[in-house]
Amino acid sequence: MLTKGLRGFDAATVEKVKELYRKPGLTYREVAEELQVSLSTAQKLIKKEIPSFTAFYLGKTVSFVRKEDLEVFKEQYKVERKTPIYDKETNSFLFQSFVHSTTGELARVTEVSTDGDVLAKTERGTDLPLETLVSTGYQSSVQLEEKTANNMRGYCVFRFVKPSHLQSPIYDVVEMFSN
Amino acid sequence: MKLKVDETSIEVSVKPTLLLLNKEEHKSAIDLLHIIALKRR
Repeated sequence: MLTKGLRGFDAATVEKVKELYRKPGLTYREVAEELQVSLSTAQKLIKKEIPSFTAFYLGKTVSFVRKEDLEVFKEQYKVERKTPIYDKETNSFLFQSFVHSTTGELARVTEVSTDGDVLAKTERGTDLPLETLVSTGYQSSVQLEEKTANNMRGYCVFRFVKPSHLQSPIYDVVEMFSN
Repeated sequence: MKLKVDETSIEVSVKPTLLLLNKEEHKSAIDLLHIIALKRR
């Protein structure tokens, strides 16, 4: 029984409307979030490597990616993905140097994982998580500043043999260019 | 800057304009590159 002024719908109509509003796949933004890349990188990947389709959704034609297609791509992307070099949360980067405030000993970031784990190696060869490193008295020797992106074309590429010691000037070059 | 790292090498890619900027830190980086290049000769 319906109260006056209220309109009722049968279950079939509700299901039909629900179906109309159901998102048929993942949006580009959702793909970017899933892959932990920027929206523009996701767009490039979708254009070249991830199958997509268009569908009419919420009054307009929108491009979507099927979840299964993204899963297939993710497996392959995991292997190809470049080494992470920067951790936003701690504002630290690969090969960043730290100096102990009292002993002057050097330590460097040796690993940045996609999960946000940052590992550093001290001059004595001890591997420590960044948090522990800082709590034991090491301070960063550089501070990253917020800068506008340089969108000029092209790159100068320098390839070095990976140094075996933390004091190598090769690491200093990387650090200087990072900043 | 882009960085590619594997077991044996480190590859740094920087925008050429960055190298042309007259900034002290970049000049120092170029000096260091010279030192590294000379050492490897």
